[in-house]
Amino acid sequence: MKIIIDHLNHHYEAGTAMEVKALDNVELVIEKAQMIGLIGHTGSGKSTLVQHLNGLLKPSSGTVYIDGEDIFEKGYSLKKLRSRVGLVFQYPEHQLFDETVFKDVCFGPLNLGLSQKEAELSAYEALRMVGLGDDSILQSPFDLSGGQKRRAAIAGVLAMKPEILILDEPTAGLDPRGCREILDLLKKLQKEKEITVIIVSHSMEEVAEYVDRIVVMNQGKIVFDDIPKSVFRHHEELEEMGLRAPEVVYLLEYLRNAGLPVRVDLTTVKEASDEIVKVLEEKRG
Amino acid sequence: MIRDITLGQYYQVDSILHRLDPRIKLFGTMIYVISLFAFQNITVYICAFIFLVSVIALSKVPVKFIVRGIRGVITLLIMTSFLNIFLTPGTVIWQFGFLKITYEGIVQAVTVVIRLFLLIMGSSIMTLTTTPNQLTDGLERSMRFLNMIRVPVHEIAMMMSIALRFIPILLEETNKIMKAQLARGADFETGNIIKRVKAMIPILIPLFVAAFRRANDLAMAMEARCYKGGEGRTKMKPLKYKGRDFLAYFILISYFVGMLFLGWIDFIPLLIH
Repeated sequence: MKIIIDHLNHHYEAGTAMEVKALDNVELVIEKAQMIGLIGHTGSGKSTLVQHLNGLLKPSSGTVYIDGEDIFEKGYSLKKLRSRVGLVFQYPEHQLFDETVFKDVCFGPLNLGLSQKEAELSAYEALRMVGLGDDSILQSPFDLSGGQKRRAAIAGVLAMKPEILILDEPTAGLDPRGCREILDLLKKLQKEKEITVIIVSHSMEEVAEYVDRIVVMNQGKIVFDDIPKSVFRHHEELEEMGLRAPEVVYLLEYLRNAGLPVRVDLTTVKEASDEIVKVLEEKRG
Repeated sequence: MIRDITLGQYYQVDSILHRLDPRIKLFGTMIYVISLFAFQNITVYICAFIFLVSVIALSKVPVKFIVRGIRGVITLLIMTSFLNIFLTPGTVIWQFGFLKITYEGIVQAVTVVIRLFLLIMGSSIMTLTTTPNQLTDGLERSMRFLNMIRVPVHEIAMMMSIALRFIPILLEETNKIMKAQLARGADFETGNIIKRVKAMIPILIPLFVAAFRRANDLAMAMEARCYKGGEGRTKMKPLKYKGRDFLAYFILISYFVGMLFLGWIDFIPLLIH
């Protein structure tokens, strides 16, 4: 399930005085079962880019190939596309509408033409995957807690069994534990179900320890595309774009400049604390 | 996709008309419309037209914007004129088979077209030179006397301005919800009318929930700033008549008196008969 984005351009209000170049010659290749963090400041084009991947937006020029097929070609079924590329918008709990959580999760698979039985089976599986128990799935979606609603909404997309799952700010508005739960779930989906996961976010710190690759966008262009540790070394340029590397990177650099020979290419608090302890012990010893 | 719908058609430019108190404009539009429909007299229409043209000139709004209002009703105008020409009974002046055109029919058709034309252009001027909020302010101030019979004028006006304010916000919300449901395979285009109406449920329910949620938040925010209705509440920009407003009233009233006179002239030959 390889995605190739080739010279993609998108102009909003093309031809008018208010024309905005949302995507500027974007080129990107995503292999199967990778987890990508798509980072950028508001207005960088990241939401515009992901909406091309499931056909909600059409490019002004350029193509997107999924498994070798041009998805904007005439005759390519959008329904087929949306069954393979699932897109979960920001605050997905706002899209819940049906009488029970279970019925709402069945909405997706039913739209794809599955029979009632098949849809119910997929829905049940999806709800299991996100950790919603039998007691909550028969309740009205409006009676759930915020975190549960979000998981129900994600289940609604998972029930369509996508091979590629894109989530726009999946941790928005969640407390630290909620963030961890969602991100752990996504990691599980990537590893166990071999789903390609793209997380759109403006915070690199959060996704750093989960993603294989970070793609940074700015003003419609891709600026960096590399493993997290390498991207964070460019933290001055990141700051110019309104982004920030994880706090530990700044701490390690500060310590290094102050004379402590620590490595600076670490991204999590645990890695950093282990490194600092190690270097201090070496110094003492 | 739902794009940027400009509410009303306010055209931003600085002119005498834009600076007039909205109450004047409401009053003026009212008597203008009355003058058009009270009389069926060519002199009246010519005067109304002259009045309209001078008002357009004063408004500094480009003519092409004003003419836009007509575009929507062109078909209606054509249809009504046809119906009037061919279906009004009276003295026949042309006949082809069973199609007949009467003198009365032509008079009717012309009257209707002129009236509609003048009416639309006139009311367009009002919306082009007055923002929706100014209009609600003007209405609120004019209707204040209704407070005496316990009509909650301020609260109604507040509801109107909040509703206007939220139209673009709710349109945006609808757009987002539509995209989210499309991403789940929803189809709003195929199927018969019943199917398509049913397909709107996944949009309408979240939209209602969103609207209620926003209303709730807004109410709390207003209460947190001590809002408790219109009682004892002052205005930041109260509507105050200026010299030019009184002049405008004078002009409007003279216009109306003049129209009455011209209209009555028509009646005089009838009285003599």
